[in-house]
Amino acid sequence: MRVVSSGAGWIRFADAKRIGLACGIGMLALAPGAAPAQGLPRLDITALGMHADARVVRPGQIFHVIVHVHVREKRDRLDELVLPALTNAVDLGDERRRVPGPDGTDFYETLTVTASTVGSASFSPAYIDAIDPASGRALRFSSQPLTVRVASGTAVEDADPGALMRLLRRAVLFAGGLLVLLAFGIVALVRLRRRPPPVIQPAPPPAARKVAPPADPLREAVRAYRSQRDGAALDVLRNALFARAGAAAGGTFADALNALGSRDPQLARVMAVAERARFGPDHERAPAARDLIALLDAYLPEREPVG
Amino acid sequence: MNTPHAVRDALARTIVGQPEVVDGLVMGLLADGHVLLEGMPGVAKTLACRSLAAAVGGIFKRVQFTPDLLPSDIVGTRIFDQRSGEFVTVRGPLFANVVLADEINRAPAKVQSALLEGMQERRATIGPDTFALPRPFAVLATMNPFDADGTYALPLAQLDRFLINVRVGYPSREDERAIVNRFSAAEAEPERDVATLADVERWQAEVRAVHLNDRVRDYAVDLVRATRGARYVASGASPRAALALAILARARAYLDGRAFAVPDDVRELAPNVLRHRVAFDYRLAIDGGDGDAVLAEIIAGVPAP
Repeated sequence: MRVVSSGAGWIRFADAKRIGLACGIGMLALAPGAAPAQGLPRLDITALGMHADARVVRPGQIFHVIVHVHVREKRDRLDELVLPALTNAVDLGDERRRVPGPDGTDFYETLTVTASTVGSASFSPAYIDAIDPASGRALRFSSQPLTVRVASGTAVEDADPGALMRLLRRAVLFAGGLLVLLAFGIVALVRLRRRPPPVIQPAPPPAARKVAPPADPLREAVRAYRSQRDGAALDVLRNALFARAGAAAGGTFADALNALGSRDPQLARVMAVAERARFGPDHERAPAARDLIALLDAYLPEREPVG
Repeated sequence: MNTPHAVRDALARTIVGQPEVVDGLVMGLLADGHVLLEGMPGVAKTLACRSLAAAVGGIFKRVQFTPDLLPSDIVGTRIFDQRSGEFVTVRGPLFANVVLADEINRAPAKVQSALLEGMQERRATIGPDTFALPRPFAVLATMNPFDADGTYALPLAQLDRFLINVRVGYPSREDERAIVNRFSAAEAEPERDVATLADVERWQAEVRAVHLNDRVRDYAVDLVRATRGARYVASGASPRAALALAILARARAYLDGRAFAVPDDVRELAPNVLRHRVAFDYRLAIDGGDGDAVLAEIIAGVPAP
């Protein structure tokens, strides 16, 4: 009924349809083999395996042991799985992952472990106890045991022989590549010596990199005021104008004029119109707002559109 | 058509190096209010008042306040005319367009209150008769706050009647040299009749029509309210201070050629409007502080719109 896989140590059940398990861990603990199978949850196990992400580790090195179970049912949890017992290894924690799929549910139990001393760290099989509904017999479905070699230091001889071979192969490939490059370099050098010296054209000056102008609060304020001509937008615009004039935050029109001096009479005019648009009589505000936009269009440098 | 700028220029030509005094007097006139000038002797307080009265024409009366002054010396009295056998009313110096109350704090309280009642009510009662004071009517009072001997301090309630309080400081060295050059040989002669009383009344009406935005009004109110309960302040300014700020902001805008007041009008005028309306407590004297600095801090603490 079961086939033992090679390499990764998977135990694969030949045909889940024929296996048809009804699991009941609590019931099995009480009376294995004697309890009726009716009423127990049904579980079709199609895979139960265990492998490690390293075959050779050093003492203290953290590695992982992964137990994988696939069942045909849509299960939220798999409490029936019994994790392996550890020898010469310390369990640092475990993480359970559930992956639902069209053909059932995969459960991955990842144990984070570290080996204690040089030698080997061994893991007893993970298993699930169940009752075969056909025969009513108690069964234990388990993975194979797992052993990880714990080697001292980082000596090559302690390493995985396969890894050693891979390393050797890479070194040979690297040396070969280096030789090819060297040969190309020699050929190119010989050809260059035979050619007349090339006329070096002066390199064109590098094109000025386009730098995005920093955000201009005044332009932003004008843009906002253009789209929403209300008092709040005008206040923001006034503050931006005052700041442009050199007034401190919270400054007024007079502060801005004092800070501005005679530097920029056009800005002074814009600010004056802004004051009229903000505090003028009701019938003057709309024309003042239009004047303000027109003045700002004329004032802002390069006549760059502001809205 | 005459403008207030003509009056301001005329005053500026006579009063050297005191632009704030000139502006304060003209704005007080435009706002139809009374002005209190405070400063050391000899800084042209009286000359400034005389110059304003001369510039706008009308009747000008000056009263030198002394401890023996009587209310009837200000308001007027009734005397018996032997020829007609009747009591006739003799109006006092209060019946003028511009009244200069020189050293107002040197007269006792009952004289002060007779004057201040006229300032507020704009009428005076002599015997059984009540008379309206002429229009326009402005009291310009001077006071030396540093020489307290023989003075009668004006209570806050009376000081509150003054629309604006202008501090008259010493002129700069350059201005002082100009004063000596111009007036050492001959006494300063104010320029007369630059405008008429009708002009003044028209200006006052136009000032009242200057637009005061709600936010500017609120700013004035907030400034006044900020004086109440402020550090070093024993009693804050009254609502009359907010009214004064509002009308003076309009006057300043008008003088500046604007049909609307801006927050700067309120902020610039606030020290002169609040100074005489705020009473500071003993802690200010203990700490050696200055009332104007406290006011400046209060004003700076209220954000302008």
